[in-house]
Amino acid sequence: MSKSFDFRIFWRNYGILIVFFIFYIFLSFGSDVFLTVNNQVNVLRQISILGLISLGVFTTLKGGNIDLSVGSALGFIGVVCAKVSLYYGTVIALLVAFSVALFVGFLNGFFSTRGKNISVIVTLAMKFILYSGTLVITRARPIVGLPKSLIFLGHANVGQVPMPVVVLVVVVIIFWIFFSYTTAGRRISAVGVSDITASFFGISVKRVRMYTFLISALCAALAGIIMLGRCTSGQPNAGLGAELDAVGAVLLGGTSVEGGIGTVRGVILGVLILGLINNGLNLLGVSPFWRDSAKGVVILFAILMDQWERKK
Amino acid sequence: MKRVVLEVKKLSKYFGGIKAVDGVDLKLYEGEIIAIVGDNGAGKSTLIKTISGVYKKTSGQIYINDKEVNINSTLDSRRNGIETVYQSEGALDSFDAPANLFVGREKVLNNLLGKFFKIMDTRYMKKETEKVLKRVGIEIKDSSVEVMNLSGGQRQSIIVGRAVYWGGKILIFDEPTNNLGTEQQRKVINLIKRIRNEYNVSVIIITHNISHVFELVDRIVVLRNGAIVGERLKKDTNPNEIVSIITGVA
Repeated sequence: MSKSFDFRIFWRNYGILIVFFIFYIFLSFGSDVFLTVNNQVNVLRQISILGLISLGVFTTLKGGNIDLSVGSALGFIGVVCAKVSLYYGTVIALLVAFSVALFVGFLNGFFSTRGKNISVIVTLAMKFILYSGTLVITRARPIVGLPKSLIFLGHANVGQVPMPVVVLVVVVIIFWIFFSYTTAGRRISAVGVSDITASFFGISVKRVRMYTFLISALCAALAGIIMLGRCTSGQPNAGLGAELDAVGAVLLGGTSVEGGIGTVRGVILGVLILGLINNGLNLLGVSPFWRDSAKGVVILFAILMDQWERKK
Repeated sequence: MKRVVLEVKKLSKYFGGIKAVDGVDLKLYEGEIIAIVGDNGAGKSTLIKTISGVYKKTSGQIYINDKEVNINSTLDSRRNGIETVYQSEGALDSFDAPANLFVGREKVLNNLLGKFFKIMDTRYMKKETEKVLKRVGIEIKDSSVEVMNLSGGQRQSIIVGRAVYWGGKILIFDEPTNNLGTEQQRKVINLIKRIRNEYNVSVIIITHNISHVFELVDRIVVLRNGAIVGERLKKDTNPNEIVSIITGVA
């Protein structure tokens, strides 16, 4: 075994972790504020919504598809929930929100499984439809005066820890168990690695892929509800473009665009790194105009490293 | 005389006007290895795909252990103990050996966690896998290594191990030594022999490689234009005769 081969395996297992720590250490020295509890909590709060939709995107990618509608779905489901809550209260609003999510996920899944590799287009179309739906519902104005119980998830604190962070941690643990230890999680990966082989082993490929879109939409719904709490209102532009951050975080975390490969741990590290970039550039006083450039460069770097790892 | 495990009678498969398989009669005995040989387009692949349920037969009967069976899908054939061993699609390359052996039929924990959340019994699956792999004669130091990091022969062993583990009594190999180096080819041949001895399964292999045929099989069936044109026990024939039957040139 050559030395470079070993490094490749090392990088595959720990590369993302190393990048994370480099950022972390760099920011610790670069800014006085970075390590304060306040700022650390802030970073976590900022990534909680991105974390949730990234797990959704991750799930669809694991199954060999992609869901680009998560950002708009977050916004749409949020404002539907907000609007309903004004008339019927929180419980009905939440029920409606999750039902709408299941319907959106079903449509994504139904159309995406009509052909090979069409989920990009299908969910992109869904993204446009949902955003337009959001504008129709809100008339491009915020929905205000939400019931207190509805903004609880996004607004409350558990001790020092913001509720969104608690939600994210719980969801991450569920996803980690789901993908590491359950038959359903394993079958999603199997379908993503090779749908031909999976179907040969008796797995219903279409059904499994449908589930991935349902899961993704439910994540978006949860993120949308948290967003309501963070804004204490239903914002027409909530989640706009967030799907690209999510895709970036997921790819950064080592999930393969070819399907089947990737870990929940990687996704969370990817999300954290994007969070550090946002926070760090702020603290260092860099113009926010540079923010997306920085993210783009980091994601490009991740893709190149990923390709290099795969080369035999 | 040994028991007949598989018999096909007057089996035909037409694609429109093309008679890809045309009235084939074939018997396979318990523990026997046969080769189906023939030129390109002779109908070998169509014949085994019809037996394994990939194609629906046009006419004819298939008997398993003297009972007529209806095979309309690959699931039907597997239910009847016929396992087709595919080369490239036979394994999930980024899964480890236990995951490959159990994918789609994962063992869940024998408690509430297993029942309600379908939490897998990974320890059981690992142990079973190691047993199976030992029986088919490969030792993998660490069974949690992804299959893509194993050799072609080890990968093949996992695919075959899976087939016999789930009750395959008739194994069909389509060009098992294609795209393999010489040493790996040898390992696959030894593997098939060992599987037959360990599990007393019957094997049909399709191959172009006449020297492998003579090393491995008990009987050789020659197809031409979808029909059987010759059938020889290995001990009664030689490579030259087989080649001349294949080509139809005496």
